[in-house]
Amino acid sequence: MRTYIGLSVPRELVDAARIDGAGETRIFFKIALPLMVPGLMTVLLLSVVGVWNNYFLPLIIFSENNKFPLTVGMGLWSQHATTSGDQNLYPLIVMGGLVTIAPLIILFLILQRYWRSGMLLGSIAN
Amino acid sequence: MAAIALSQLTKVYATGVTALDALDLEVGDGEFVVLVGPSGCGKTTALRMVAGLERITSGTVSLGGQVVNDVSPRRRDIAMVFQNYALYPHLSVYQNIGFALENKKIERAERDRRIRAAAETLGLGDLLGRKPRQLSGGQRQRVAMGRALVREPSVFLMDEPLSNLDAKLRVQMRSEVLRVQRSLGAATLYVTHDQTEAMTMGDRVAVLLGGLLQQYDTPRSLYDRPANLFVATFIGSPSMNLYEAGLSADGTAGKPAVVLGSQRLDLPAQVAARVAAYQGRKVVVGIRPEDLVLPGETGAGTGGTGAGTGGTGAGAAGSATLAADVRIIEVLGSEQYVYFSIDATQAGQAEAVAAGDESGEAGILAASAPNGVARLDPGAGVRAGDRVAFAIDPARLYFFDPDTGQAIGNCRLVPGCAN
Repeated sequence: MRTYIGLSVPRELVDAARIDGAGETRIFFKIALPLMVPGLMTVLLLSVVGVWNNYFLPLIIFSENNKFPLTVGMGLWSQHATTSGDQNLYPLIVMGGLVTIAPLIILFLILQRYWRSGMLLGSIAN
Repeated sequence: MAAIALSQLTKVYATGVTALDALDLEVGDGEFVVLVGPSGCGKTTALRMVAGLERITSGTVSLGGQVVNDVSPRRRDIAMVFQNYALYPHLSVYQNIGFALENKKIERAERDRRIRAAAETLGLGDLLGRKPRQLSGGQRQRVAMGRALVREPSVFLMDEPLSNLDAKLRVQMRSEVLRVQRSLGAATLYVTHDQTEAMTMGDRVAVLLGGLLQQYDTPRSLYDRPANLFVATFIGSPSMNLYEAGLSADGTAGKPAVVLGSQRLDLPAQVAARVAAYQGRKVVVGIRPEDLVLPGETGAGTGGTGAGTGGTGAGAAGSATLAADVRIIEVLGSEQYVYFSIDATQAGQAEAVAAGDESGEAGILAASAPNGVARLDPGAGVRAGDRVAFAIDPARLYFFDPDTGQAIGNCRLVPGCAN
């Protein structure tokens, strides 16, 4: 992130804002933060996917079935279907898989507008 | 009281590199001063120290008579145009120009009036809603200017603002920048590496090299009275011709003369008196390309670089001749550059020629390579291969100390000069 920020917020822009009379806080929120948005969104998405897909931690932490996240619930269903041989569970598991990834797909679709190249186009010559 | 005063301003970086060494400089109210020099000479560092963007190692920066070493950039009442524009990419032209006013918490109506006035001045009226990426290079440069001038600052700082524009646009913008500066009346410090820009724009020009101020004077004086070899070669295009020479007392009829290779140029008494201290010693002689004319010509040096000489060349007054072999001719339409060789050694080239002599062929090449240039009228009938005799007014010769590089009595065209 440090390297990314260094590249996405050129020193000249911060200098220009200082000369323009902006304080450090204002420079951060008004100039630097908007330029960091693509990177921040990427980190946000990776974090959400990481948490959403987490299996082992919630399996250890939660003791009640109704508190398990989708990943753990699906795993338990799958385990149950294998050991009990209950074939009726498989359609539920497939449908559950679809429902599980749907929020991530939606999130990707929403956030993709922030992944833009050329954020600095026209700002800094060369 | 000077609008900007730099006193013994020094910058030494943590690596031990001295970027600027004891710079003394004053810029008067409304004056346009240009800092010029090659890359790494410390000109941008000086500008950034005035802006408050660079920590000062020693010395002082005063704005309007007040020392501002410890004052933050936002409180210095300055505006700066950056080399690469530094526009806020996510803000529109309107927002870019108005950003400083917003920071100053200026009332919305007044802000709007000033933004639109600045935009009109710079011809950006129709582009206020656009983002920087939707603008051309020239328009971006104008926005950068607009952002600075909307603040109505007391001091204007410009760091090579035209260096990213193409040659044609640069010429257009030069007059635009001057027009805006004159209308604002703010003291301006302008950094460039382009000597043409410096000469055409500056009321005064400070020439820097290696962090040291070489000369600070009007463009005309820099051209007519360069303080040393660096200024002499840096200012003027094409550069001054420099040769190693000797001063002897055995010219025609016992007159003092300059010995240039196998040729002798008699010096009039007035010139001889200026260089009397160097009689019998080596000197470096400088000849401006426009001071060499063909007999009967009036010379091409009538102001081609903006510095110009305003003179009529040496044709009329020329009392000495310099025989030369023409090697290459470059015709530029309004004038022509005639590259020639004479048997004198170019100053700073002695070692190269000596090395050439040892290797035989290289020596022949070095001997036939041009070692001087004359700027002549396009109608002058010269061809490559000709042997010509240039007329030159010895009063137009420049003399430099070969050891220190400092000028010796260069009072060219300046009445009453005692140097």
